[in-house]
Amino acid sequence: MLNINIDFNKTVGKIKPMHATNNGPAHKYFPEQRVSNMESFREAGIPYARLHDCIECITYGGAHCGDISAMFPDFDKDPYDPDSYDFRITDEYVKVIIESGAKPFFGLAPTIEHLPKKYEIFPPKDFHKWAVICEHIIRHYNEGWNDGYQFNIEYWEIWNQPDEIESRPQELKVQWLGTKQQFFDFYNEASTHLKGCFPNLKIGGPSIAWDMKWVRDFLAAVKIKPDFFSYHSYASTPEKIIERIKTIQNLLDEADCGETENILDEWNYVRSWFNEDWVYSLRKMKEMKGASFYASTMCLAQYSSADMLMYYSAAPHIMNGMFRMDIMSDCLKGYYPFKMFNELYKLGECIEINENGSPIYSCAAKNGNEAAIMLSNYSENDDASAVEVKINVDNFSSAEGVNVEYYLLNETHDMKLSRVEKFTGDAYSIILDVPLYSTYLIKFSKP
Amino acid sequence: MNVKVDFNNVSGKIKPMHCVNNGPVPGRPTQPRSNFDTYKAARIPYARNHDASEWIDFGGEHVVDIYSIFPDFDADPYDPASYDFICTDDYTKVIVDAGTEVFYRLGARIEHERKKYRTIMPKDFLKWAVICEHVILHYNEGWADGFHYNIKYWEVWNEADLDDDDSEHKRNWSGTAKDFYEFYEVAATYLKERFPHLMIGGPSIANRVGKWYDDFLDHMTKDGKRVPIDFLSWHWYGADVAKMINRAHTVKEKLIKAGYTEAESILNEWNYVCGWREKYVDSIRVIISMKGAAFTTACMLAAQNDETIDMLMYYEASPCTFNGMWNFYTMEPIKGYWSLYSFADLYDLGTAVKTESDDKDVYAVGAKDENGNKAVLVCYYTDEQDREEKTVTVDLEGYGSGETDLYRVDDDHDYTVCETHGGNRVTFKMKPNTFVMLKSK
Repeated sequence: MLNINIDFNKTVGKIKPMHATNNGPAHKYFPEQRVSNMESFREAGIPYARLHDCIECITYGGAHCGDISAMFPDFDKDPYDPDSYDFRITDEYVKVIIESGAKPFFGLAPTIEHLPKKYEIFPPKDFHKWAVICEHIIRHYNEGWNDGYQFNIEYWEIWNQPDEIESRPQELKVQWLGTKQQFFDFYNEASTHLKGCFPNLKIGGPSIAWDMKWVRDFLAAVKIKPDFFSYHSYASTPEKIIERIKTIQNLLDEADCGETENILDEWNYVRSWFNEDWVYSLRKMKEMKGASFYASTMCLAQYSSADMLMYYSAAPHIMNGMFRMDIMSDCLKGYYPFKMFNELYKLGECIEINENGSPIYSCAAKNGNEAAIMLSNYSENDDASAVEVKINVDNFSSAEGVNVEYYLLNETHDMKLSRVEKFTGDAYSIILDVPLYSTYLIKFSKP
Repeated sequence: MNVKVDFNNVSGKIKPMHCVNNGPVPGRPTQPRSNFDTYKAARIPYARNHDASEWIDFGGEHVVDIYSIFPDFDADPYDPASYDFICTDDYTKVIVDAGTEVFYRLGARIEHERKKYRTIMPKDFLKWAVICEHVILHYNEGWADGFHYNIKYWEVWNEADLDDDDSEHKRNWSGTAKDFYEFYEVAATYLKERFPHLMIGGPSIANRVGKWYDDFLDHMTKDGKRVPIDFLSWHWYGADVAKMINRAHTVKEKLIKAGYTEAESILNEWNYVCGWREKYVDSIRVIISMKGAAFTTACMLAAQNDETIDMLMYYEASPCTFNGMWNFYTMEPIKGYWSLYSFADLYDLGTAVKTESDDKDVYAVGAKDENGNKAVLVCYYTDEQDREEKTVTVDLEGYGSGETDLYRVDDDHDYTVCETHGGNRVTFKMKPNTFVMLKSK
């Protein structure tokens, strides 16, 4: 039996937004053929939605949504002239995100280009002009410029995955066709200009794919410390994701960027990107294994140096384990860990856990007379066993006892209330049998 | 119930009822996910490339549409540098490599978005036709480092009739109906003159086969003129197969009345839809189910047996919500795949024979080839709930001796042999919304 000790007097900071996503609800403007997940998105309390790869999704507006090329289609035009911009479709999409209760996290970058011809991933031919265009996009969404809005969007991310293998043929590169040094020059120009214009906003990036040597060089080259450093990790165990978070934090600390937010803004279950393991990964994202991976990763990352996790992807995309890509109004198993984690997020105060990691991943939170624990049994081994868990609870009691509700996510329960108990006394223990890939949210309340 | 098949009585050819909209998903070196092999195995005769630009797997915004291939309408249409063919070249090659002929829709994908880009009426109709001419030259005559694919069907625009003239949300054509008639006349006349050997047609009517269609035909024939319509394309979404056939009759009768007696009638978008708003999600669930597969088979069989339809193109084989053929994520075949696959077996045999069913819910087509191979595809489709299993007897006149394999497609079988029968009368049971193929051994 695995013993987990939780002393609700031992707080360790705030519950962080580990349940943010890439992209927002699919909610078509025109009601005919509308299949919306707006309500589910709202119920899960997704805190931030990153606008990236939007143009891959026709529901958001395809080629006319989100990217700089969508909003400023002709780079030769005057960036100070409102007529040079086409905000119409992106406006719709940003409003849909805000309507869902999420805050946009704006990627100032092109969508990944897997196509045989490349269109938007060349280094901009004028770095300063590119920055001025971004400045006006920010003014449109935050300061009302050009018939715009006052959305106060906080995070603005410069580019995506520029750490290409330089020796690769151009046709196989998908995000940056310049050199590493060109990117550093570009980033410095853009961040200096944007931070100068908007000192109150968070300007960062650059959404690293994989190359830690590249990260070290980047951090040595930046003129202004990024407000946040973003990067990606796709893996088959939560530990591998945590390892990436730690590596990034070490590199940030080494570069004297300890105040820079550590944001993992693409992650998902991927055993491999090739052959049958890739198709296996796609399947598992939509099944209980994926759901347990999501729950476990969010729980473990809460106790890491990551400041935010953004799941890839909530868009109508094959890597979406939250919603059915063909019927977006249908929630998959992987949706519920986000909704469960939101219950901890709403409570706010994070509680220390003595034992965390394979096979049981957990996270606890409280707020006054309410508390909750989320835990999942995850293993990369599909034949792993159920685990019997004893949760020893201290310092959450009342004279009238404590009501405890168990919400279960497994093959037959979608975060359904499966058991109710009442505990009395200052300390008490809960014994649970946790089958492989099942997840519990246990809510405590004082009458 | 009884099905009579007379193999001595030839009724014509098996027609291309198993065509689709769009080609296979090609896959990538990393993140591979492809249906190329199963697509090829389904032996699909034609793939219409409409709405390809909705899908990043095919090339997204850079593929097929005139707006994609000729991005700056003010550029010189005679200059190869004005064109961007690369993504469309790759997509077209994948279709051709799968053994399928391209049915090229010249125009634009539907735009559900609030602002329109591609579906705006061309500001110069003749220039638009000249651009299309060069697209044809590229794919058929090698122009601009092109190909010699000999693509036969070239369709002018898509669903210009979808929305009212005064609608604020026109999804396929920003102009009026009258504007469109003039546009079609200019484009079709120019292209037919340039390529008299090709099939130039359209206009992919969404649903207005009443006044809109009458006015279209009047315009094409007024004052004694005869604007080229080598094929008349139209769409139908519904749940009642008989209504599809009724529309086919309406389309064909008006076409003949207007003097286009030789024009082909091509239903190039169709699928199960029981509602576009409240029941839209229900429709999608049916499309990807066994019932959807039975509906698909029933439509193909009914259209084969009807003289007024020359080609059927299922909407849709691309990775979209209307795809009842492949799993959305893995691109592995689902039940509807076997509908088109089994019809391809009839198509391979080639010759249709007289086939009659005495039950309105049971559809059947018999076929044979010159080598004595014979087959009968039988489908029991109903849109009603709680229908009973049926006992079906198929009488095989002129069948000869030998055994017959019975293949089933139902919840438990994916076109697998379940029984073998002898003699010229085969009796078997069918659950609602399943289909069966009888093949001579």
